[in-house]
Parts: sequence; C-alpha cells; structure tokens
Amino acid sequence: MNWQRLVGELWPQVRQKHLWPELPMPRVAALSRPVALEMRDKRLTLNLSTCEALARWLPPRTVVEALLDHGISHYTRCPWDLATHLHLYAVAKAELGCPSLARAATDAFIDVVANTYCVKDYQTPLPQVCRYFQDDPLQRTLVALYGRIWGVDMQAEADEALVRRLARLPYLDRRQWPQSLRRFAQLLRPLLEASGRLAPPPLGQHGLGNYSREEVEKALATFAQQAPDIEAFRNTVADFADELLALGYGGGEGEGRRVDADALYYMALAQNYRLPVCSLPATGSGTLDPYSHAPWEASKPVQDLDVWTSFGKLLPGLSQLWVRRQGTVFGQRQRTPDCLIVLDSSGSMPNPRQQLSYAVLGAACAADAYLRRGARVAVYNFSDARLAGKTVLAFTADRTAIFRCLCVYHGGGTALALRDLEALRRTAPQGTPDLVLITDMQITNLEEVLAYLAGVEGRITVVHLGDNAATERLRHATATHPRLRLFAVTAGADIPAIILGQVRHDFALALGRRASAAAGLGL
Amino acid sequence: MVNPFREFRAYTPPRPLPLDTILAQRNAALQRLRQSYEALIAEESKQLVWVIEQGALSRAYTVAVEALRGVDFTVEDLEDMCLELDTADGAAASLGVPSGLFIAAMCNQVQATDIVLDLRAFKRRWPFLGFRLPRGRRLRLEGDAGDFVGALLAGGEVVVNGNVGSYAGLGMRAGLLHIAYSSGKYTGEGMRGGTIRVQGRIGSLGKAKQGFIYEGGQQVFPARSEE
Repeated sequence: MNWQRLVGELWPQVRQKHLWPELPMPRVAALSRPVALEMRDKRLTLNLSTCEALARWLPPRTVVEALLDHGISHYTRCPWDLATHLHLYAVAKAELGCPSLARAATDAFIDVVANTYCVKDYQTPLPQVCRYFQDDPLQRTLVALYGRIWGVDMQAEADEALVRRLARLPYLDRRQWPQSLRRFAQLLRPLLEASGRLAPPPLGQHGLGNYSREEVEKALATFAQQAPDIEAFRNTVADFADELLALGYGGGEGEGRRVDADALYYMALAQNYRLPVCSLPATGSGTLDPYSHAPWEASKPVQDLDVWTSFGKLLPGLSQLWVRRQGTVFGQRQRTPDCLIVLDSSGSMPNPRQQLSYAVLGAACAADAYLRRGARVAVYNFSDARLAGKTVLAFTADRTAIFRCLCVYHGGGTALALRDLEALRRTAPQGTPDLVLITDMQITNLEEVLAYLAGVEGRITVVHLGDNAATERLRHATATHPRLRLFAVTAGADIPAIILGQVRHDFALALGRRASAAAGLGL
Repeated sequence: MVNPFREFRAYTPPRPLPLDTILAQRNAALQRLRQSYEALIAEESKQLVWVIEQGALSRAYTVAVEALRGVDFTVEDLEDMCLELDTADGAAASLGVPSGLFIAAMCNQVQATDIVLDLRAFKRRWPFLGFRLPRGRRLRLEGDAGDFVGALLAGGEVVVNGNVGSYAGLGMRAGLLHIAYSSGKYTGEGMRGGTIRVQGRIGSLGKAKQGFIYEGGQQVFPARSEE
C-alpha cells in the first residue's frame, strides 16, 4: 500500500473541505511514539504503523481522511495556537496539581474539542476511526462520550454517569473552555490517577514541538500577560522546560543547560511593550570625500587625479591625486547607539523572582527596544557596588544573557561604583552609548551620582520607582540637563510612556517655545 | 464565465449534534434554577439581619421549596447549579445559609433519590447540606462538609466521606447521618431521633434528647452505664 500516494490524492479534497488551511503536504512515516499523527512546524506526519493497523478494519481512504481531518482540526479549531494551549494547561494544572495528569487532561480535552468541531462542521469519517481507540478506561470513556455527543454508536462501555456529566460541557464555546476544562479534569481525575503511567493519546500528543520558534515566542508573550503572576508562569514553563531547551531557549552549556523561567517571563512580557528609541544621526556620512592632495606616481590610479591642480598633465611629480577620507558631516542615515542599563537591585527594590518587578520589566523593555534596533546592551546590576554587590555584563547582543543578568537580585544597600560604571561605559563598541538608569533613587552616594550624570556624555534616561525626597532632589538637580529624561513608574501602565534617549523632543520644545516667543513679540 | 466561488460548493453548513440538545436542556434547567435561587435571595434579602434560628430557617427553606416547585431538574443540573453558586461573584452568591438551604431544597426536590455531591470540586463550604432530607433519599457528600450537616434530618440518609463542621445532626428527627472522619462541636444538638455515626472523633457532643450517637464504633449517646 502506497500511503504517501494516497495522502497525495486525498489532500486536495481534505484541504477544500477545511477551506484551504495553509498547511504543507502531509507525509507518512514511521513515528517513534505510538501515536497516529504528529505535527511539526505545521507539517502533519501520519504514523505508518497506525495507518496499517487501522487498515485492517477500515478502508485506507477512510483512515487517511479521518486522520487528516483530525490534524487539520487541531490547526484550525483547537488549540489554534500555543498561547491557548498553555492557558488550558495552566487551568488543568491548577485543578489537578500534577503535570503529567494536567497534560493528559489537556490533551484529552483538546482532542474532544477538535474532533467535535470536525464532526459538526464537516462530513468526516472520524467517528469510524475513533471507535478503534479504546485501549484504556480513559480512552473508552472518551469514545463513549463521543458516541453520546455526536449521536453515533461507538460501541464503547464506560461509566454511564460519568459520560452523562462529561456530555454536559460546552466544548464548542471557546469562551468557556477554561471552566469546561476545569470540570472535565475534575470528572476525569479518578480515571487519570488510576491510569498510572499515562500513555500518549492515540491521536497524538500536543506540545511545544508542534509550533515554530516564532509561534512559541509569540505564545510566551501572550501567556506572560495572561498568567496571574510570575509563579504561575514559572510553574507552567517549568513543565515544558525540555521542549523549550530543544527550541533553543535556556542558558548554560551541556548538561547544565536549563531554562530560566523568570528571565523568560520578563523576556516574554517585554515583547508586549514596544518602547520607542530616538535614533541619532550617524556621525559620518558614510561616503569618502576628497580631502587633501598627494603627488601622483606612475603606479597610482588615474581616476582620482585632480585635473585642475595637475594643469591637465599626467606627469609624476606634477600631477596631483585626491586623497579621500570619510566625511565628518552628518548624513541622512540614523542609528541607535548601544545602551548601558544600570539597574538597582538593592533591598529596597522587589525581588524579580518572587513578584513582578517593574524595575526589571522596565529594564527588560529598554533592552528589548535597543536589541530590536541592532544595538548592543550592557548591564550593570548593582546593590552596594562598592562592596562587590554587582553583576556586570559587557556590551552584547545575547538576549538570554542580558535577561538573566537583569533578573539577578542582590538585596542589601545601594551605592554605585562610578569608576566601574564609567569603565564599562567606555567599552561600548561604537560611539557613545545611551545610559538607562532604573532605581528608586535611595542611593547612598546620591550626590556623586548626580554629579556623574551631569558630566557624562550621551543620552540618559532615568526611570525611578516611587516618589521620595531623593527623586525630588534628582528632579531638581537635572531640571536643566539637556540630555536627561526622567520617567516615573508606579504601575505597568506607566511603562509604555517611556521614550528612550529622548533629546530631540526637548530641542523641538525649545524651538517651539522660541518660535512662540518670537511670534508673541511680533518678530 | 467561471464562478469564482464554485470551489465553495463543497461547503456544508454545520449539522446539529446531540450535544446541542443536551446543552440546550442543561441551560434551560439552569436558567430555571437560577431564577428560583434569585427568588429566594430576593425574599431573604428583605431581612435586615439574618439570624440562624428555627423560624428563619423554616421560612427560607419553605421559600426555596416554593421557588423550586414545578422545576424539572436532574442530579447533574443540581451539580451544575452548585458549581455556578460556587464560582459566582456578588452579594447573592456570598449568602452562605440561604445558598446551603437552597442546595438542600434541591436535594430534596430532585427526581433521583440517590444523590452524590463531590464537595472537593467546590471552594465554598455551604452549611445545612442534608437539611430535612426525607425518608427514602440518600445524600452522599464526597469531601469535607460545612456546619449544620443533616440538620432536621427527616428520615433520609446522609453519608459524608470527609469531616464535618459544628452542629452536625442539629435537631434531627429520624434517619442516619454517617460521617467517615470527624465532626466538630455540638454534634447532635437538640437531636430527637435517628442515628449519628462518626467514624473519627467528635469535637463535643451537643444536648441531644433522643436518638443514638456513635463515636468510632462506640455509643456515646445515650451514655451506656458500665456493666
């Protein structure tokens, strides 16, 4: 039996039936796990052994069509995307406590929803195939449930009262999925617990492997917003750690590689904020302009000859060549400078690994904004830096390293070692870096810091959390600083208002003020 | 000219499933139960202060029974209504005693005579479960129950597979209250008949008048004289 050819024949019909989902041609292969199909990077793979086993009782066309219907239904109906999947898993985990039980419950629920959508919306042989998946009590119960809610005789024997209760859930109401899954898990808990070591669902397991890296990134950003707190996010992500590692998340090397869920939380949350960064004019125009003359020699090219000072002659010693240099004028091109993030992680700041820290979130948003624009970011995470309470990361574009460094919490006192900071600032690979300082301003050597900020080159963005005497002092001391912008953050809603490296705005204001003054004077 | 939509001719509208009928019936029953509960709450909210005393309990229970008259519902509807009361927010949902009495009234009015409620699925601990459960009915509660379980029991059988709070079997007249674990204070207070069996420990006995109370298999009321 040439299964691949059969898939090729049926695929256009199945696609048409499902209104042309954007999926590549499925393939048939021997899968290592005992599942009927799996989806990787949007490509469905039917398990050869399952197809052959089912073909003993059903026509091959029926088997292939049913499995394709099921696979497409997952893509077009439920879970639809990874964020929904993670959300559903979190609900099941909260109800059942155990990750393996929660996974089994989520997989079963997703299968019921996808299959029911498929049976309701299309002419499908799916019920004929589902009838043969009755290996354990859980599967028998699900098949009996299908029989009850689809109105098909599935020849499954299960606890009638349980099936009656399961049949009362609104599987096709997407808004009620969390409540439905909670009840679904409650009802199936005894069966799930009795199953012991849970085998993967016969129609395929659902996990992060089904999605591309971009989809995972987007889903984590959405889920970070949906999760009630960092702990809920950490607990859910920890259960998918192996799959996340396989997708390239996580730090460390070799056996020590692990996913830092807290860093991932801030990384994902920062994706939801797109802070603007004012770009700077590039220092050079990028072109080579004639700068000075040099005598022409026989071996030198003639295209740079200055005919005016050579008097139209081509003679060594008489003719003059233009020596070109990069122009020093500002060109049209603009660039985003590198950024040095100075983050206060002293005892007066919340621990980012225990609760959502707006300081770290603000720093994460700033880092994300600069990295998006191709700049490099350095981190100076400090508490009492003069007593070695600091974590320093040199200028880099390694997103994971940056976020891990931002999530370090020192506690203790607050003092900046300005010499260290200046040394780090000077290592910027290109030009003068921007400085982003995030603190509650309860710094022991505040006056030294203010003096440093007054004299430092480049643009400075200071984000302070909360209001106190020190922030007032800072506001007063930097009121006339032309390159320093001050932002106060007390809640997540304040973060989008931050504009990094905002200097031009002040110029515009100043120009506007001057223009209005001139207009007022009638000039 | 080629019809650009001809490919869509294969499309068939969604077909109705038995699931749709089940959900419609469920929603209709829940709607009726919700209205009954709201009628009870509307009546009881007229009381400025809700005090647990015989008159108030009887009145609230009678109102609940009246509100449920003519409502056709199943044990599954009862469970779903409990879930709704458990998850609902607002002032109406937080009225513990009327909610407990309403659930008791539902248990006494439902078609089935053998009722199982899994209390582990609920966050709230309603009081008065099994209130006035009549003869011929059996209520099985899985998990820990609140106070006043089996109050004024009227011949029915209440089995609690967990612990119960205080005043278990308050004023019960007949029937059996079986508690698999322990009970709180004043167990059997004002009891006039029937049997309370506590497999675990009894916090303290109430002033029972008649009937039998057993603690861990031993009769503790009426106290047996040492032979």
